[in-house]
Amino acid sequence: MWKMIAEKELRDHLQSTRFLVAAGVSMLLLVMSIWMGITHYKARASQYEQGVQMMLDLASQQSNWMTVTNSAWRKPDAMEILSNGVNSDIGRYSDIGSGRDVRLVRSEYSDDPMLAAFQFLDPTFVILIVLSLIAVLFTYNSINGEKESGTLKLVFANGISKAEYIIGKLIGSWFAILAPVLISFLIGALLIILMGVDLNGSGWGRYGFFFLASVLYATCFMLLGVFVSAMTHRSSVSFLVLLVIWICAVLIVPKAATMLAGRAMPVPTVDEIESRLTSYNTQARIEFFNDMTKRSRARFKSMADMKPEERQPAIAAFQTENEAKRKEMEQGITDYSARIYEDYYNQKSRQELLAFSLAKISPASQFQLATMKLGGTDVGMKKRYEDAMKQYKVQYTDYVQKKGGGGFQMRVSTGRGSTTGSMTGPPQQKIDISEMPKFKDPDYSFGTSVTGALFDLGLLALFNVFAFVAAFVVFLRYDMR
Amino acid sequence: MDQPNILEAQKLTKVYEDGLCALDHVSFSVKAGEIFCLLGDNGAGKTTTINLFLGFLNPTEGIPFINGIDVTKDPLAAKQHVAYLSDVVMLYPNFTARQNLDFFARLGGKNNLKREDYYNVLRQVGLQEKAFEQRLKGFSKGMRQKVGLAITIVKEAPAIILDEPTSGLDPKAANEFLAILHKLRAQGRAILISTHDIFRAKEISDTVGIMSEGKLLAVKTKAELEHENLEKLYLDYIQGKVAA
Ligand SMILES: Nc1ncnc2c1ncn2[C@@H]1O[C@H](COP(=O)(O)OP(=O)(O)O)[C@@H](O)[C@H]1O
Ligand SMILES: [Mg+2]
Repeated sequence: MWKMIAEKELRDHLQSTRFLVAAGVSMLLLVMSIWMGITHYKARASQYEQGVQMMLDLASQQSNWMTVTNSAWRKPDAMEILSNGVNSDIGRYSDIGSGRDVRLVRSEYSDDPMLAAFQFLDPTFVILIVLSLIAVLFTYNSINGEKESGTLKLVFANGISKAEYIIGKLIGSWFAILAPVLISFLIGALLIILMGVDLNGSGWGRYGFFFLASVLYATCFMLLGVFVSAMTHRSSVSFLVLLVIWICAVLIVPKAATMLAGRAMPVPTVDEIESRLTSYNTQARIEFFNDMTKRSRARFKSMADMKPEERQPAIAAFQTENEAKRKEMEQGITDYSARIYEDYYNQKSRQELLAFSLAKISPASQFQLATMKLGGTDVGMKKRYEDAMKQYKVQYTDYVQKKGGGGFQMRVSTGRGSTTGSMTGPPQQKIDISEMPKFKDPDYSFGTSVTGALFDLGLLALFNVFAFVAAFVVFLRYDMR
Repeated sequence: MDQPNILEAQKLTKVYEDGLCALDHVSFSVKAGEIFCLLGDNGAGKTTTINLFLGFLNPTEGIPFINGIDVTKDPLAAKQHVAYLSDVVMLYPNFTARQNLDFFARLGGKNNLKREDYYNVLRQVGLQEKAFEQRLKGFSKGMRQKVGLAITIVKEAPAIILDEPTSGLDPKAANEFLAILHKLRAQGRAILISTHDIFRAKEISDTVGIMSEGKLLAVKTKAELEHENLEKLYLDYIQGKVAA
């Protein structure tokens, strides 16, 4: 019996103008957003290649490792196509070198404010807004509409149980919503292949999970729609109720949660931290110079009655002492900066945890967080890259040191060397960059992404179970007259 | 008549949650080949009676039987023996007449009917051929009612319950509708109709039950009504001039 109902429900949808228009629009938007994602990704990929190549070309022109400006670039991941997440918010590369802090700079939003103003229309966004709306649109009158048209009584004048009916109804509606999503994702996959995006097995796996997340998300709103429809007796009422629920779940809860968490757990802004660092930096340098001036005065006084041949080692000793002090000062600054940033990240992650926990009552947030994890564009992305780049910086500076560079002293001597133009040696040899360590993007495998998304996917699934039980139970008590 | 009782109401009583007694010990029966008409004003309790037969409501007291099956005990089994048409018949607007019929036929247990079988039933109820494969969206109330009647016919159930079937129909459509009822009666169905239309009631029924404020005041056969003015009788009854 339930099969009959499911079939009827599906056919009823397929034959309705409402379905054709809504499914058509959602498929168009979804496919378009995937296409735009691919274009965006390919542009980013070629930008990345160029950036890295330019940096390497420039480096290979140098004759001394000290003059190399190395930088580490974020390699675009094809999964950004599905979920852009924080991708456009964070910088594309960071300069790498001793005395340089690892900092991702030049984000897409900073380069292109238009993009920031209108946000990025990625598949996640389309599904978040459009698919949930459509699921609601398909189901807001699924029960009370049949009551209004008298068909509910007509159906139940036959030997069919309420349980069979609601199961059939849900399955039929589910297929109606599944159809446009499935078709869009298949076309999307085709586009990915045809447009030459190199997606590996892990990528396709994540694509599959993204599809699963989308289906779970749409199912949530479908069940919610049936539930509300079975709670009310007029479809105009259930439509309004669902609209309010939709606005809260999709538009308000995620933003309100972030704001609330910001209020409850204030975290200093990056600007505040930078200015704190700068003032510490200045203070440390002033102290260093004051100290140096004092010491040099004392030195000169003591050197006044030295023989010229004694002066030379004295000056050298003074220089070594100075260098040690300077190193100490710089170490102090680095330590302070590290401490402050660690503090900042700890506070920030606690705030994020609070915000997300609050937001997660909404399936929209559950979906968004899951897809960002799947796409690798979650809020942890920046730190993941900065950590990898910090590691790379150590590796790189070690390498440069070994190649005979390093520190303040060298810079002075190269300066002197170039000004005096030592012509004794062979013409300056270009450095060999072939063995220079390369930056490797932080590992973000299929396992990592899926494990990361699993909790939110689980929540989404749990929400589905609750909504299903609610719709089922409420319908069993539904007054059919 | 020695026909069996197909529909039977035994002291049906319904008190709604708000305390209103919509039905007060109503008893009657409808035999095979009989048209029984529940005649009463709006709010008399006709729809309540029908809802009890279909298990949409549970009686406060009394038992409704369909084909000898206690509806309160085994509603699903009982409903296999009844075809029903409600007063609001919108049906599925996105489905064609044939698709609507097909869905309800299979729901009623008729699984192997062919397209031509459906067309035959639709012809029987007098729907124009060109409307068979048209969506119900553009149908008039009369056309929808015909499809609704086709749905009740196609189930081939021994009992048929119609709630205010002719309200909203123009006279021609109503007449056609009643002609079909006569055919069904000839086939031996037990038909229960509710109406507030005295003339139609007299015209078509074998038995008329006069209802008012939840009470079945009188049950008159066609023979008994032959020499009576039903309208006067009806008004007398509901004004309490004649003791029930
Ligand atoms: N769900 C309900 N709750 C309370 N009273 C009801 C309900 N449904 C109907 N009634 C009342 O029961 C009485 C009989 O209604 P109904 O059977 O629909 O009458 P009819 O079909 O003869 O016009 C009316 O007074 C109506 O107001
Ligand atoms: Mg009524």
